[in-house]
Formats: sequence, C-alpha cells, structure tokens
Amino acid sequence: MILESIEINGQSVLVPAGQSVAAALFAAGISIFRHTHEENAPRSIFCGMGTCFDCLVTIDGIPNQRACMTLVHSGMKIRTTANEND
Amino acid sequence: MKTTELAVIGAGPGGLAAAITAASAGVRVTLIDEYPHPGGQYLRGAAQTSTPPVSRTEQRSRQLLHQLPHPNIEVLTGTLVWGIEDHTLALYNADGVRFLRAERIIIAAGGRERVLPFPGWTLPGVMTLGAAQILAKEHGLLPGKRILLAGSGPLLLAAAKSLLAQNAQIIAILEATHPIAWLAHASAIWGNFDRLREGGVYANVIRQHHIPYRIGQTIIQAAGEEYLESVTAAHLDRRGNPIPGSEEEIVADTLCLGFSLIPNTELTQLAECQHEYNPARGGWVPTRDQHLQTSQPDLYVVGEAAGIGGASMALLEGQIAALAITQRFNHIPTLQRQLRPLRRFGAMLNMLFSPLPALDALADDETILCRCQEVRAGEIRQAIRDGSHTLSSLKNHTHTGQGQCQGRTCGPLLTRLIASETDNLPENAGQFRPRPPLKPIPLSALAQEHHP
Repeated sequence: MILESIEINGQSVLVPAGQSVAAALFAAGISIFRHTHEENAPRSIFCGMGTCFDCLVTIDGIPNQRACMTLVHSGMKIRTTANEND
Repeated sequence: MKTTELAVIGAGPGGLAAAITAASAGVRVTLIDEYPHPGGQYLRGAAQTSTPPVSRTEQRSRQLLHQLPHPNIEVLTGTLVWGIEDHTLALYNADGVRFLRAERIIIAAGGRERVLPFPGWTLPGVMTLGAAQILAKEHGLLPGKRILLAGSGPLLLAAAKSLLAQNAQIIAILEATHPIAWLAHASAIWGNFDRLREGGVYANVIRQHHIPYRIGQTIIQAAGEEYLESVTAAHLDRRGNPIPGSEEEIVADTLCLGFSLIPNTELTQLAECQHEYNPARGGWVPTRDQHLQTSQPDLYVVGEAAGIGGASMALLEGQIAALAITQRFNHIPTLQRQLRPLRRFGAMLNMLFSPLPALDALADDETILCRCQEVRAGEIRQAIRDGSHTLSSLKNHTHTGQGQCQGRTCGPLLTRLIASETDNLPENAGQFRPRPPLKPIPLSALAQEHHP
C-alpha cells in the first residue's frame, strides 16, 4: 500500500493513497468535521456520496469542500472547523 | 468549445454499459463522473477488491469497469456537470470550468438514499447505509464500534455484509415493514432468480454472524452530546406508528439509515424533460419512449435516475439507449424482454419498502428537516397550515431547500409532509426547480474558463 503524507489540523499523518478526505479523517479519529453556522451544531459524514453537503471541511485553504468527494494527495492540508471552535 | 459524439453522465453500471456499448460501435464517447473513480456507488472499491461478486450483475458490472481505459472513451472523473442547456454541458473539475457540446447525451445520474427525519438525526454518527458501506467497501474502515442499521429494504442487508467483511460489531438490523406486507408482493419474484440468490447470500452472512434482524421496528430517537451515544428503538404498527411501551434504549455510536432510494432528477429537470410522479419507480421520474429517450430529442436517461430498479436494470437500459443511438435496433427487443421482470421486481421493492405514512410523524416540531438551513419541522408545518402547499412556496416562506444541498435531502421529505398534512396527492406539491450551478462551484473557477 502506498502511503501519502498529509496534514490534518496542523498534524502530519500518513494515509493510504486514493483514500477520501472523509475516510482519512475517520481513520485519524476525527469524526466531527464542522459546526453549523446557525446553531453551532456538530456535523460529520451523512450521505457519504456528495449529495448532502454535511461533511464540509477546508482543503488547502479552500473552505466548504466535501470531504467525501475529495481524494487525499501528498501534502494536502485539511482543516476541520470542529478544531477551530475548540 | 470541445465536442463529442456522445456524452454519458454518470459512470455507474448504467453509464458504463451505455459508454462501452456505444464505444464498441465506433462512437466517440465522453464518460463523466463526479467522483474521482469510475464505477458509481455500486462499484465502490471494486477495482481493487478480492471479494467474489454476490451476483451475475455485480460480476458483469465489474467486467465493464475493467474495460476502461477504452480507446474510444474519454473518461472525465472528478468532474461535476453543473449545467445542461440544449446540447451543451457545463463542467467543473480540478482544472477549472469548461464546456462540452455533445451530439447526444445519456444521463445515468443514479439515485440517492432517503432518510426520514426524527429527533437526533443530525447528530454525527447518524449516517446513510451508503455512507457506511462506502467507508467499509472502498476504504476498509468502520464508521464506529457499536453499529445499528435501520430503515427498509435490501440495502440494509447489503450494507451489513460490507460492514461485517471489516469485522464490524452490528448490534441489530431493524426493518420497518411487516412480513405480512411482503407476502402480498411475492408474485413479482418470478423471473428474478439472480436477485433472490443475492438475497440468499446476504441472509447467510447475517445468520453466520448471529446478527438480530428485527422486523416491524425502527429507530425513533437518537441522543448524544456532540456525537451519537444511544438510540431508541420501537415496534411499529402497520401504518408506521410507534407502539407505546415498546421503546427500548440501545447504546450505539453509529446508526446507519436508509428507506430505499430515490432517483436523481436534477439534470433531466434542468434540461426541461417532462417528468411524472410514479411511486412504483421511486417518485419523480423523467418520461421516456421505448428507446429510453426523454421528451428532449437526443437526450436519454437510464438506470436509477429514471426509476429505482437496481444495477441489473441499469445495465440493460444503458445498452438499450446506446444501441438506439447507434441504430442497432434489432438487438433491442431481446433486452427489452429481459427488462420486464426486473421492472416488475423493482416496482415491487419500491412499493413494499416505501416508508410507511405515519413515519413522517416521528419528526416532532423541534426536529430539523432542512439540514443545511436548520429549518425545524414545526416551522414548516406552520407554513403548510398557513397555505404553503408546494415545495416552491415552502422554500420562499421558510428558507428550506435554500442551502448548499439545494433541497436534495429535504425535498422528498417535504413532498411527503405536504401530502400528509393537507391530505393531498404527493405530486401536487411539485418539485424544487434546480438551477445552475447544480452544485456549488468556486467563483474562481468560473472567472477563468479553461481552454484546452
């Protein structure tokens, strides 16, 4: 298995190449991806196939990217907003 | 602008069958899929799997996938079709925005899962069966440690099999419908022995792992601080009302839900194809002629996007549309004959496992219906009482459906809610009108059109 180095909330982790960002986050033990604007409610994976827009995270500086539809690439920087609210 | 002879949108079984059938006849095909890998939800992880196929349909679908790359097919994965106008498709991918003019178009956009709202359904840890299955099948991961599956239909079993292959701890599978309803539909099984065998494989796996399969039950509440901690299960009467006193609290960190599938019709709606409401096909579907052409010339739609019927149906429909486009009409009648029992079976599943009417009442007034805009059921029910009897009117008055998912999740729920609150037919509630971009795209991509 080929591993790639990515950064999740500033921490380096190794993940299998071809994994989705959502899967990489789950594998790293991060299962809350963001908090909602209105009610600050936690959200995570819901539909898993690009329909619901619940799993939004910031990828390489671009906000509101669907974690379930994006594959990791070497050097990718992922930020979950759950972390920013801590 | 780039041109192509045939654009196929969606690279699941239906799209693959269409693309490869047309390409083998010498047609120049552009096969487009939003996900970075072809195969659709059905073939997630299939390219690298060592598990034997559960059916002839899965085997055939994998064979099609392995025919890529194909000299006549340009595969554009990771590419969103965000607009369709006449014969021009608006595309967005990592390279930016571009436009593609296609002489003919086959839409194979698939379906999505329906989840019914109830208190706590927005908590992390509550997800669709498909989401859990993708984690397991494609990524070899489990969504949690103590997993419960609830909803209705064969996907419950398919998801359980994928999770068990990763050694999941499944506490129970809760099927909402009653076995008495199953018997009434038994005749549609005739001629669908491949599907029955597949069902047998699932049943065996569940039995071997001693997973309780509880019929006539569902989850009525999910609870937890920041993440799912427990759920409440209840027995249902035949209309779907929870039976008082039957509630049982179960500790779980993951709840996977699915109440059958609904067709993705955003593209055919945007293309102004004629649609009809047909519960036996899963709800709103585009109307088609015998060659699966929509009311718009040279625009075809196949597979789940035209009515839920499973991958076996999608494979046949993809071939039929491609044969019609390549004028090989003499091959079509045989395929149409094979389609008939599958359609019957699909209609049976859609009717049998369509959510019981009283399940809509599980969402109390505090339950969020529109997950994006966080609009609660109480506000929506009030708007319906105040005279909003269509989805468009509800969107105007409550902000439901105005968020990022553009009403894909709440739309079908609102259709049911309006129908039950006004005691009217679901089709009278209308649909949300999709508009481009069909899914959000960054402005920076629009600002610089890509010129290949």
